[in-house]
Amino acid sequence: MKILIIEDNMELSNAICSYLSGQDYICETASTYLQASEKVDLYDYDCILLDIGLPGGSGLQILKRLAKENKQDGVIIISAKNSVEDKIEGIRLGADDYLTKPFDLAELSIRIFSLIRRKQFAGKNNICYGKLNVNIISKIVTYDTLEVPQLTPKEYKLLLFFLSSPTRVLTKGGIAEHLLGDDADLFDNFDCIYAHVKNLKKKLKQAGCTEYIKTIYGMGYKFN
Amino acid sequence: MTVKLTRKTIQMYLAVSVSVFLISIPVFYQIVQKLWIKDVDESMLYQKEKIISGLGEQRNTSETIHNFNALSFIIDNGITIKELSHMEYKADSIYYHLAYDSVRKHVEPYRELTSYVIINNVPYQITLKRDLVESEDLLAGIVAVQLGLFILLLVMVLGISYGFYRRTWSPFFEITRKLKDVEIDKPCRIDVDCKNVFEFEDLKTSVNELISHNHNLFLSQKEFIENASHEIQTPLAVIKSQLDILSNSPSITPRQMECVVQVNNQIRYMVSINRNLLFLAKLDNRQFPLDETVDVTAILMSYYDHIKEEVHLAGKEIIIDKAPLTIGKCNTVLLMSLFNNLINNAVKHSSPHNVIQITLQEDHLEIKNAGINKALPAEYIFNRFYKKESNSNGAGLGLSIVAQICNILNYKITYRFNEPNQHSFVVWFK
Repeated sequence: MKILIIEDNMELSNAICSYLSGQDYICETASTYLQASEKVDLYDYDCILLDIGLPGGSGLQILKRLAKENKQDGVIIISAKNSVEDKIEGIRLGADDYLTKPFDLAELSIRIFSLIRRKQFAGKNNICYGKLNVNIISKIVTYDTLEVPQLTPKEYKLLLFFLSSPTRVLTKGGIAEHLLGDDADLFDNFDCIYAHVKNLKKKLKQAGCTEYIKTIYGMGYKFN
Repeated sequence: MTVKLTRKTIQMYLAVSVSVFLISIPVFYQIVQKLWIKDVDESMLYQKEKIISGLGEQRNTSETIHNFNALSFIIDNGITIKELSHMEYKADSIYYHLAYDSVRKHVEPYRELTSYVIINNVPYQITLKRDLVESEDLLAGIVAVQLGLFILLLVMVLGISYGFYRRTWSPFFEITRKLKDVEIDKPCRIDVDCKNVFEFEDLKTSVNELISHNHNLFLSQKEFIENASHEIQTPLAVIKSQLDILSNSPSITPRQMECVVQVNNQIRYMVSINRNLLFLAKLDNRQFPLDETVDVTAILMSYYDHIKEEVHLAGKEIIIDKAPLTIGKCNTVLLMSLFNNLINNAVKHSSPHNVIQITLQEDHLEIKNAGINKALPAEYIFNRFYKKESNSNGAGLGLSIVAQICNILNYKITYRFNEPNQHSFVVWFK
C-alpha cells in the first residue's frame, strides 16, 4: 500500500512516515508544491496525505490537478485550519477526509485504513484479524464460529479502532478523542474509556476471544 | 439627573431674564422719579424767579397779589403769595408732600417750594406746589412696559435659540445617533455634514479616529489570536506524533511511559484551549451566517446519542424532556456548540450518580445538574478563562463561548442556583 505524505514540516512528515511504515505502508514524502505535483503526476498512490499550506502553492491545487487527470488516489487533507468551510471546500474538490492538526497518529491510521478499505475493497465487507471477523455492513462480529454479543455503537467503533492499528499502543486520550471527538475532555479522567474497553473485552471473551486486547500499564491498550 | 441641552439653555435664559427684569423695575422707578422731581424743581425755581421779577414791576403790589391769590384759589394753579409782617431770612426749601385730594379722593404726592423774598421792600412768602405722578401709577407703568418688553424679548430669544439650537447642533445629534450603532468588530465611519462648524468637524474627526483605532486594535488582537493559535498547531502536531512514536518504541520503560502520558494529556489540554480560542475568534469575526432553519430537537438528541454511553459509564444520567422545535435565522454549528458546551459543563460539574435534567420547551432550554453546594458568581462565569476550581481540567472558555453564541443569536442566557445544590442554566430563544 503506497502513501504519499505532502507536508512541508519535515519533522511531522518523518514521524508520520515512521509510524505508518511500521504498519506495512510504503511512504513517500514531498515537502513543496513542486515536488508534490511531480510525484502525483508520475505515480499512483493508494492514499495521499495533503497539507493545504505548502511552499510554492496550495494543496487545493493538487486536488484540482488530481481531479483533472481523473486520478483515483484517496486524499486525506491534514490542515492546521479547523473550519467547516475549508472542510466543505476540500471535500468538494475531491478529498475523501479532513483531519485537523494536531492529531493522534492512531487516528490518522484509522482514517487511512477506512479510506483504503472503501476505495479498494469495494466488494469486500469483512475485516479480519486472526480468527476475528467483522462484517461492516451488518456490524456482526464473530470469533472463529461464535458470534460476539451485540456491541454498542461506541464499542463497535472502539473495536474498529483497535483493528486499524494492530500492535500499536492506543492511549486512553487517543481513544477518547476517537470516540468523542472534540468532546474528549468531557471527563476529567478516562475512566469511561477503561469501562468501554472492559465491556468490549467481556463481550469478546463470551465468544471465546481472550487474548487480543492487552492493557499497557499507565498508558493505554494494544491490540495484538 | 440629566436634562436636555435645550432645557438647560432655556432654564438659564429664563433665570437671567427674570432677575434682570426684577432688578430693573426698582432701578427704573428710582431713575424716572429722580428725573421727574429734578425737572419739577427746576421749573418751580424758574417760575419763582419769574414771579419775583413780575411782582417787582407792579406798582400796587398788594392789590395785585390779592387778586392773584383769589384767582389762584379758584383755578388751583398751586401758587400762593403771602405778604409777611416782618422779614424772616430763610433759605428756599423744597419738600415732598403727600396730601389728600378731596376732588380726586385719594392721597396725591406733590412737591412744594417755599421761598422768602423781599420785593419793593416788602417781604413775601411764595409757595409753589406741583403735583407729582403717583408712585403706584409710575410703578405700574414701568412694570407694564418692562413686562411687555421682557415677554417680547424672551419669545424672540427662545425662538432664535431653539431654531439656532436645532439647526446648528444637528450635526452633533447626528454624530451621537450614529455613534450608538458603532460596533467594534465592524469597520465604520461617521459621515455627517458639519455645516462648516469647526468644533463639529473636530469632533467628527476625533470620533472617526477613535473608531478606526479601536477597530484596528480589535482586528490586530483577533488576528494575533488567530495566527498564534494556527502557528501553535503544527509544532503541537510534531510533538504529538513524536510522542506517539516514542510510546510505541519497544524499549520504553513504564516510568518513561508515565511521562509520555502526562505530556500527552497536557498537549491535549493545549489543543483544546487552542481550538476554543480559534472558535471564539471566529465568533468575534461573525463568520457564521444566520440563514439556516435548524431542528433544535434533532441537534439536542444527536448530541445526547453521541455522549450517552460515556455519560452512563461515568455513573451519571441525562434525562431529557423535549418538545419538537425548529428555529429560523440560525446556524447549526453555533447551536451545536451552544448545546455541547452547556451539556458538557453540566456533565463535568455534576456529582457522580446524579441526574442531569434537560428540558427543551418552545421558548427555552434548561439544563439542571446537582453540583457544589454554593452558587456560582453569575457575573464572572461567562468571562474568558474564568475557572471555578483549580482542579477542573477545562480552560474556562466553554461558558464564554456559550455567552458569545447567545449574543450572536440574540438569545438570553440566565444562571440560577437552587438550594441546596442545583445549578440551572437557561437559554431563552427569542
